Amino acid sequence: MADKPWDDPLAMWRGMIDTWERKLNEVGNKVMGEERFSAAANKASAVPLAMQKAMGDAMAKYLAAMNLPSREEVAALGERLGAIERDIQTILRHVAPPPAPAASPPRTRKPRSGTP
Amino acid sequence: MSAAAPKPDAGERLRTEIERAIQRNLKGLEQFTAPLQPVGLTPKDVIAARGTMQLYHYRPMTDEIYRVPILIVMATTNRGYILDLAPGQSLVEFLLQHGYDVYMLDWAPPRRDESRLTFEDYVLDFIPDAIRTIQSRSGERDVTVMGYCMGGVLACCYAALEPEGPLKNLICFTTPIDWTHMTLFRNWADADSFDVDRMVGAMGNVPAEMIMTSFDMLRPASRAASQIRLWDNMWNDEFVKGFRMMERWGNETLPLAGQYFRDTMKGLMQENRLNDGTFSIGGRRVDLGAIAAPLFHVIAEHDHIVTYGASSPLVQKAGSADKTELIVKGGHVSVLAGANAVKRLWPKIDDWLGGRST
Repeated sequence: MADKPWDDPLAMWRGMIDTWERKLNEVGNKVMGEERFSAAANKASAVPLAMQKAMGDAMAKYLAAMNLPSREEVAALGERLGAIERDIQTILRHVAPPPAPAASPPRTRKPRSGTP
Repeated sequence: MSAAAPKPDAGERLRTEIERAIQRNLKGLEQFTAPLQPVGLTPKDVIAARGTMQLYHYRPMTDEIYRVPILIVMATTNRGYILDLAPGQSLVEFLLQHGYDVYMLDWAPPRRDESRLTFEDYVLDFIPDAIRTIQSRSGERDVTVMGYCMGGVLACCYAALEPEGPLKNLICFTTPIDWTHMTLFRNWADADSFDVDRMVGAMGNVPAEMIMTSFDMLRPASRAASQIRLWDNMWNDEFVKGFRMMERWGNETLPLAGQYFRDTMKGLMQENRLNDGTFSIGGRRVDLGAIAAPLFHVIAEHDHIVTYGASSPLVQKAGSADKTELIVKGGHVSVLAGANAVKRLWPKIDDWLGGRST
């Protein structure tokens, strides 16, 4: 049986939080379920995306003219280094592979009775 | 005497609340400096790693194991440790303790140069590669594949394209097939306003923050409410530990390879081709009716991400003669990883799978 308010001083407050969350989620879903929301949100996100791309392209040209790498190229180099490190680990694993479970248990287990 | 006089235990309750309030303040401060909650502790070996693809083999825990190994295919948006959160809260550990040989195909964040990975790479390269490695390591041809969410979609596509292959059983959890029922996602990704080509062209890989935000927007008040509940339960170490593990998992959402995201958005989300039977991978049509392996699909009753309407067509469409749909109380994650999953779902997986793993 649920506590009465005087049994648990915070029960009413917790109930209010639950209700607030449920109602706000309902309202949010209703608003975000409308086509207008989708159109507006995608339009809003398209602008920074386009700006980001245009800025990136312009900056890359500028840095190339200065004979300097762009941030993207440095990040790509870092990722390639990470990839090479991982590949080395993979090769090492092949050279000295982790031992297949030395005493791998026999594959003879049967289910408990009653199952197919 | 007033009828509203406090009950005899009211003083005790008040003392408890004061004690909890003190604990909240003390432990709340600790929260700021606490290290990440350890997760994924079940002993395992990384037996293959290639870019985003990671294949783990968990060490058996019983003297005798079932003949057929299990390959878990994790959702591409999230880390696989959700299925191995902590001892006693780990599906992986449960399977090992019940005599299964468990492997997991997990995903690292795709590198910039992996933005060209396609849906085909996941279905016709990573999964078959993992299966070949398992066959070689275990000496068994047959493999059970278990896919969670998008991992389930990848597993279903593989099962449909390779019906004569080594797939012994197919288990899917909360796997979306009819994407018209994911109404909010579908509205946001509407082809008239959402230009996926432009987005992928500008970004390469889709950032994890964008994936997290889209999930949060499904329940816009829930992140704030969960923080309030954390404060309320700050005195409760078990609650805080569980909260922090789940919060860490949510915060470690993965970015998605750009081309794979584009394939998913166009083929599945916008055009619903998997449900219509017109989705093709590597030039081959994915017909779910071609799935022949025994199929077990778990649907979460309160799943706000993959609703019943989105996931129920799997069992209806699959060609398997032996197929089961199980609806379990819980949400998209809690159905599989919450404290209730231990009692509600995991034993049912064992009941279904044991006899099909010999």
